Amino acid sequence: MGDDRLHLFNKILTVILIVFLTSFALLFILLPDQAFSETENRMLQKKPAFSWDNLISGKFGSAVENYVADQFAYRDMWVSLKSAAELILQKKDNNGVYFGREGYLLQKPGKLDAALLAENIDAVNRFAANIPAKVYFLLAPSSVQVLADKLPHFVAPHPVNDQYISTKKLLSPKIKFIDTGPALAAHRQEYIYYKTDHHWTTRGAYYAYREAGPLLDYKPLDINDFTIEQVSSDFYGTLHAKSGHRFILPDVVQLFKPKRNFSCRVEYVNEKKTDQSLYAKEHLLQKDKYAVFLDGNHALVRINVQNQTGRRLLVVKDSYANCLLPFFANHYDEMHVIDLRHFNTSLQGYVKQYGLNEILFVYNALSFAGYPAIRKILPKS
Amino acid sequence: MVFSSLFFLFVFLPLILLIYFLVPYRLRNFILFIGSLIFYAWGEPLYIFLMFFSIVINFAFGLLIEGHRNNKKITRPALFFVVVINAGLLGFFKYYDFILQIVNNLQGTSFTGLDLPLPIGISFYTFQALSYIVDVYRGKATAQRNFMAFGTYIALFPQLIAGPIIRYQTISAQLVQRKEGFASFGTGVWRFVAGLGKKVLLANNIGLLWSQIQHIPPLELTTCTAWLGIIAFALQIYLDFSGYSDMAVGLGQMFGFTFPENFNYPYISQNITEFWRRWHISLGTWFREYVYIPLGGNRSGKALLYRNLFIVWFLTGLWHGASWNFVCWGLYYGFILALEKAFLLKWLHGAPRFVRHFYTILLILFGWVLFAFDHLPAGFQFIQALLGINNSGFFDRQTLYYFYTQAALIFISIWASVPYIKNLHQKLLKKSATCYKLAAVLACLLILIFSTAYLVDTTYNPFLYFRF
Repeated sequence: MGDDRLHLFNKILTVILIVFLTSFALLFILLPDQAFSETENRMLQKKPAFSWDNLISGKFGSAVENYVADQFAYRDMWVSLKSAAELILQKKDNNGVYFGREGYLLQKPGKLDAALLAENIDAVNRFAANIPAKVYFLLAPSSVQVLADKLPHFVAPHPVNDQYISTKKLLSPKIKFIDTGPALAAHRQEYIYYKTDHHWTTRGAYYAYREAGPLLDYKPLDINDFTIEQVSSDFYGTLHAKSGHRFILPDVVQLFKPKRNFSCRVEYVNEKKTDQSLYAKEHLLQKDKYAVFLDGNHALVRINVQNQTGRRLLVVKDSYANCLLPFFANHYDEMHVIDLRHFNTSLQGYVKQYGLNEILFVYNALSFAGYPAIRKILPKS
Repeated sequence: MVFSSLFFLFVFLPLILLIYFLVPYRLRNFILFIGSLIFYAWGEPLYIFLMFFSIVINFAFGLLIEGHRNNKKITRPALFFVVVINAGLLGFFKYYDFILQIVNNLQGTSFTGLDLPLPIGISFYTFQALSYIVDVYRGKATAQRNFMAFGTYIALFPQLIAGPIIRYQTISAQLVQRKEGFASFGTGVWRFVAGLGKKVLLANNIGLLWSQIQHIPPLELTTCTAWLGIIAFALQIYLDFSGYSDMAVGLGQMFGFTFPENFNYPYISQNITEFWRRWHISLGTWFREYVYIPLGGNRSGKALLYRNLFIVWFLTGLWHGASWNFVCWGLYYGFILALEKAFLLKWLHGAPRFVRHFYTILLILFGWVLFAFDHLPAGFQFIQALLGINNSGFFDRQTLYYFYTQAALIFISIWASVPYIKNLHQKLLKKSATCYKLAAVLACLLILIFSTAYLVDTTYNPFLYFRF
C-alpha cells in the first residue's frame, strides 16, 4: 500500500517535470519571436544563423542560449516573478538601483573617480580662463543626494554631498556657481524628482531656474505664471528598467507653460529640422517620455524666442538641462544648446563665430564626475 | 553547457529524455554517449577531441592490460605509460602556465604562458580514466570491451563537468545493465529540482553578497562585514557545488544510474576529519584509494604517515586550481588532520558538542578565506579583518544594510545546508500522508517555476541609451 502511494508520488513528480519542460519548450517554438523588448529597450536575440566557424568558436552555442532566454515564453512575466521574490526576501537594491521608500527608485552612486572629477573641473576652469565671456555653472544634484531620507534603512552614506561641495569649491572664481542644492533640498517634500527615472521633474527644474535668476540676472516667473499641463501619467523611466523592480507606480510628466503669449523656433542643426515647440510630444507615446523635452539629446540645438531682451546664451549641458531650458526660454532671445557627447567641432570656435558672451554649463553632479567627454571643450593640443 | 541554463532545461533535457526512452534498450548507451558529446561540445567544440583522445587511449590500454594480465613485464610499463599520459594531459592543460610562472620566479626567466582556456571537466574525467586503468590493473574490474559503454562512462554528461568522480568499479555493472522506471525517475526529479533550486535560487544570490564584500578594500572592511562575507562564501560554495552534485545524481537516476553521494551535510561536522568525510566525498575517496593507500597509508609508521598526508593534501589542494592559495588550502587541511590524528581528536572527544562544532566551523571558514582569494596577501588582509586587527571598526551601517537585506536569504541558505528538510521529508514520507505528498509536489513545482524566473532574468539587460 505504502509502496503504491510512493509509486504514485514518483509518477506525479515525473509527469510534473516532463509537462513543465515540454510545455514551455513547445510554447517557445509556437509563439512568434519578438524583435524588440519595450521594457528593456533593446533588440532581443534573433534565431542565430548556423555556420561552422561560429560553432567552432563557441559563438553559436552562446547565441543559442541567449536566444532561448530572450525569446522565452512570457519573458516579462518571469522577470516580474523574480522581482516579487526579491521583494518578499526584503532585497533593497538591484543592478545599481536602490528600492527607496515611498516608491522611489534611487540611483546607487558608483565609486567616485576623484582623478577624473579633478580633470573635468580643470578642463572647465581652463576653458573659462581663455574665453572673453561670462561663465556660469549649474550643477544639478541627483535624487540620491537630495532625497537621502528616501533611501532604505541603513544604507551607508555615500559622499555625493561632499562631491557636490568640492566641485563647487574647485571651480575657478571666474565661474559663477549656481548652487541649486539647498533650493531643491528645501522643497524635497514636493515631487521634484521622478520616482522611476534618474532625472528631476519639471517642478524640480523650476526651483533650479528660480534659484538661478539673481546670478544669471533675470527675474524668474512665479509658479502661478505657468499653466501646468500633465501630459503623461504612465512614465516608467531608466531606473525602473535598470532595477527590474516591477511593483512600483509610474511617474507623471508635466509641462510648465507660461500663461503669457509665447512663440519660439527650435532648430535641430545636424538633423536639419525645425519645430515651433519646445516639446516633442510624439515621445509621450514611447518608452522614454523624458525625451518630450527638446526631443532628447542632440549635438546642437538653437532656440529663438521673441523676448526682446537681446540676450544670447550658450548652454553646454547633459540631459538634466532638457527640462530646464524651456524656463530659460522666457528670458533669452537666442539659446545655443550643445551636448558635448555629440558635438565634434571646436567649442571656442563656435563661441567666437557667434560672438556669444554668456555661457552656462548644466550638468548632473553624478554624471559630471564620471564623464570623460568634458575635455572636448579644450582646444586639441 | 551547464544544467542551470534554460537551453539545457527546456531544449537539451526534454530531447535527450525523449530519444533515450524511445530507442530500444541496446541503443541507450549510444544515445547517452552521443548526447554527452554534444553536451560537452556545446561550450568547448575543440576540446571534444582531447576528451575523445583520452577515451580511446584509456580504452585501448584497458584492453591491453587485461589481455596480458599475468605478464607484469607488459602490464607495469603499460600502466606507467598511460598514467603518465593522463597526468600529462591534465598537467599540460591545467598547470602549464603555473609551472612556467614558478620557473620564471626561480630562474628570473620570462617565458610567456600559453593562456589556454581550461578544458571543462578535465580534472574530473581524467581522474575517472585513471581510476579505470588502475582498477583494471589491480583486477578489481574487468576491462570494458564495449567502446560505447566505456565512452559513456568517461563522457556521461550528468557528472562530466563537476562530478561526482565515479570510480569505475562502482559503476561498471550499471554501464551494461540498469533499470530505468518511474521509481528511480521520480526520485531523480525530486533530487534534480532540489539541486537546481540550491544552485539558482540560493547559491547564485548569496554569491552576489560575497562578491560585494570581497571587493570592499580591506582597510574599510569591518569585522562583522568580513564574517558575513565569509559565511556567505561558505554557503555559496556548498550550495553551488552540492546543488550541482544533486542535479548530477538526480539526472543519473532518471537514466537508471545510481551515482555515489558527493556531499553529506558537511557543515554539521564535529571535527575536520569528519568534515572531509562529508565534503566532496568522491574526491576524498579517490585520493585515498589511488594515492594515500598505494603510498602505504598509515600502515608503515608515523614518519611515513605524515609524509603521505602531506603528499595527499598537497595534491588535493593543487587539484582545485593552479594557484598557490589552493596548495596552501590543501596543506592547511593536511596539517589540521595530522594534528587531529596525533592528539586533537582525543581532546575534542571530551568537549561539549557546541565546542566541537564551533571549532570545526571556525577552521572551515578560515580555510575558505585561503580558498577564495587567489592572491594570498589579500587573503591575509581579509583574515586581519576577521580578527578585527585592521582597525576599521566592529560594524558599520553597511554591515547593518547587508544583514537587513540579506538575512532572509542567509537564513534559508543555512536551512538548506543542514539535514533538517531531508529528515522532515523522510519522516513525513514514511507516514505517507497524502497532503504532505501534495505539499512536496507543490514545493517541487514552485522551485522549478522560481528557478526558471531567475534564469530568464539572467539575460535581463536593459539598454539605457537614454541614460543621460
